[in-house]
Amino acid sequence: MILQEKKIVDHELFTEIYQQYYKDIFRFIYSYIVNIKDTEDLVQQVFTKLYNHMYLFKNADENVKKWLFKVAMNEAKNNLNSYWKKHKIDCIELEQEPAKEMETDLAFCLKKLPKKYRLALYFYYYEGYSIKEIAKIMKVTESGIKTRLKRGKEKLKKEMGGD
Amino acid sequence: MINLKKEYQNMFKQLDVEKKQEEIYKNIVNGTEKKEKGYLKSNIVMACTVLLLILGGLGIAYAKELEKIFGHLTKTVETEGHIEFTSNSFLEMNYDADLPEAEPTSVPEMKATHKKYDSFKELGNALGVQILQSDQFTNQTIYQDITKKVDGKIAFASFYTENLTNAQSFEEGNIYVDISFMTKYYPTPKDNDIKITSASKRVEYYIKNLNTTAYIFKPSHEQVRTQQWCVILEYENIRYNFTILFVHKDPEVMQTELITLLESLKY
Repeated sequence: MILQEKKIVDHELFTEIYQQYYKDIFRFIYSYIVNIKDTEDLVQQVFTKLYNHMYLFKNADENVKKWLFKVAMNEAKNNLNSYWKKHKIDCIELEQEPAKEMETDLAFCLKKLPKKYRLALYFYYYEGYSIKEIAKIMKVTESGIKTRLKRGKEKLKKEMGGD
Repeated sequence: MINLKKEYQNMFKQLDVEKKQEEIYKNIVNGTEKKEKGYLKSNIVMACTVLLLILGGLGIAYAKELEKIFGHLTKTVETEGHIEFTSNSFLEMNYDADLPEAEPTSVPEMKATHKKYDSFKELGNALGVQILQSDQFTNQTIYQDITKKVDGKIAFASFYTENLTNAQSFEEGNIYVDISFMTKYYPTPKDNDIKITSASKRVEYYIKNLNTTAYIFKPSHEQVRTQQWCVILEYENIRYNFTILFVHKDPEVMQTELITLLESLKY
């Protein structure tokens, strides 16, 4: 937006939500795009959107978290899909060797995994959401989520050399 | 046996998740967002500032009316004569859908070559996506307007409808919608802005069912006999741009009908 909206923001509530969900949103975005710098940028974008939409929320309940996940999911998808990103990423990767020593096996393997599986795996195995809840957040059918979990898990196992 | 929960925990343990937490917080509340990616917008900002100076005074007469109708239900935002909606979202779809490239045209013969779909469902099936509908849309005839392709893949497309309500006479009012989207093949990101230069004020209505915000505003070029309202909303990376014409209606009736329409949108 060129012109800034008039902001009447409940700073106390925003701070409470930020403190409560910052780490969740950071982890969620990282598990999808597996890149620290971009994750920091996107986390800022997500919470900036929250700041501009604080009028939607009265407290820091689970609905806020789900809203934040949805916004984060869109921002992360857009980030990976952006034309700029697609054309720049090769150059960046050529210029600097990825810091593999900082990566766990999982982070390394997540990069190789088709990105459509990453979100479902994160929600299920880390956040502990049910298939029904994930389907609602991701707007995919429950059977679609089951398939993503099954295939994602199989591919991850294969990449990680497990059984 | 790989324990994925443990693997995730291990991955996050090695990340310094809190490293930038304080800095990002300060950036947001102090309004000092990172500017590294903002350089693309600088030229647009300059151009629009000039436009603002020219258009700054337009449309103010509608502000009170808008507030009167929607003010108590929604958030009202002053925009000093210019509204811009920016979209960075990309639609995942069947990029190879059978949709020939087409340019916008007002020439009827050329327009006649644009593809026609009898329902939103038919269009959705052709594109491999879902499109919002409403039980109020008794006529869902929709036409292709613009399609841009990059390397044979659909990069941008726009569609327009006839009157969705199948009203027998104009006195019953009309609803039209333009549906548009970008895909990952769109060559210049952040270039999908819609600029409404003749509206001074908008209201934002949160549609709970869709978890999205509709931007409602009134263009200043309305005719005396009609009340024309525009509503823009984005859902699942598709933009819906409604034009709604009311004829001689009470503000409260218009409000109710508009809100009912927005709340009725669904797949």
